Amino acid sequence: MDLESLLPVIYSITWQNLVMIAVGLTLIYLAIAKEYEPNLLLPMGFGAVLVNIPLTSALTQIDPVTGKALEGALTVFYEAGIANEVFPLLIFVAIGAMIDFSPLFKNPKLLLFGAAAQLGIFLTMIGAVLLGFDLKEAASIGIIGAADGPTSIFVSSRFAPNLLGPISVAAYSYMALVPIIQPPVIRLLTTRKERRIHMDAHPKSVSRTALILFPITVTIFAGVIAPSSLALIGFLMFGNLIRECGVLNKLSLAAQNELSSLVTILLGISIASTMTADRFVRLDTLMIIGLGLVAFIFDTFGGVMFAKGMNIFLPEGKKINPMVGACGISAFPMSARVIHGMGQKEDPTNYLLMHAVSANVGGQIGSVVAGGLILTLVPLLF
Amino acid sequence: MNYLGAALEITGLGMLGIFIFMIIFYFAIMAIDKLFPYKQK
Repeated sequence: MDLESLLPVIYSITWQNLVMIAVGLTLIYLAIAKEYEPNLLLPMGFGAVLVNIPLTSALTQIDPVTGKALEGALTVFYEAGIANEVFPLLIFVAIGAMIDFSPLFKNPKLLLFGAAAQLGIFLTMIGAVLLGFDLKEAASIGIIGAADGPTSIFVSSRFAPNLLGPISVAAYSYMALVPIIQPPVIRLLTTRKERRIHMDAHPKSVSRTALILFPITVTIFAGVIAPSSLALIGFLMFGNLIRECGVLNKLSLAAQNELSSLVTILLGISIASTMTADRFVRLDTLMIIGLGLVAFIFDTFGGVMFAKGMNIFLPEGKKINPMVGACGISAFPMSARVIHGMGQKEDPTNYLLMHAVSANVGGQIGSVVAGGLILTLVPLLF
Repeated sequence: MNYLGAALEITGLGMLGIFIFMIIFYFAIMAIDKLFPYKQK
């Protein structure tokens, strides 16, 4: 028996496999040492190592002797939870159970920033088309700008499953990098005077009935206007209804903790099943990583410029600090914290946190709506 | 239709759609809050 048949992996491994193992180890490093979205990046990183060792039994392989498929666990997980979109939807139930919509009731006009800050999705989609991606792939890349991992996974698993790995890595990496990406863009677009604008606080309590009715109302309106968005919005709102109804506290806690943790583990490692060298070590991946950054920059641009536009019409004393506009992305609560920190740096007496959180919650709704609209519009026009 | 034309159309319709959704949700919040205000027990 020769060495090749004793150690087939050594003879089968390619430089692309080695690159992917290095990518996997880098993701593990970023997750542990830098704490960049460790919940997702660690399982994805470990999974990337797992699937790039040749002949891995974690993926379905064809037995060279019998010609039969030997099922691998990660392939089974992928088919069971990603290909049919179940895992991202379960994550939405968990996220819904974590979201408190009461800040929106205190200053509902900040909800509009959740729309303006989705601009990056669409501009990035145009950029991806110009770089040669087809429309469905471009839409999936653009949705990185939702700054919402499950929405990115949901849309790309439907439109471009071949790009799921790089899109997920880009989405979660840039979400973790919000504190680095947003401040320079905001400083570039605003003057010091604008960054020092104070906003009135809206101390107000919200009734339980209102908080219960909100997810139901949103679901019904979304379903009537864009039924394709209903799975995304509906599961998010279902999770929120469990939270707010007041009679399912145990389920609400289970959704926020156990469900979220279990599905996140499965989601991360299942996505890694797509991070094989043949799919990942390509020029496309680099372009997706670059376009993801563009998406986050234009999201920030959209939110800030919309706030500046609103300020033209708002009277003195009612003006909005344009930095709050940048919180219209879904990266919650990171974006709100970043903006509050920037506000404090400019003027220690300026407390923007409540407004920033309201806009950020609006961004969580906006990103899901954007995902739903992409799912509706792309098949209509293509 | 070419991809670029379709992408531009989706951009226009998409941004308009998101704003329409958000404006509806804005009015929904205002209406719910008005109909079911917080009452101190």
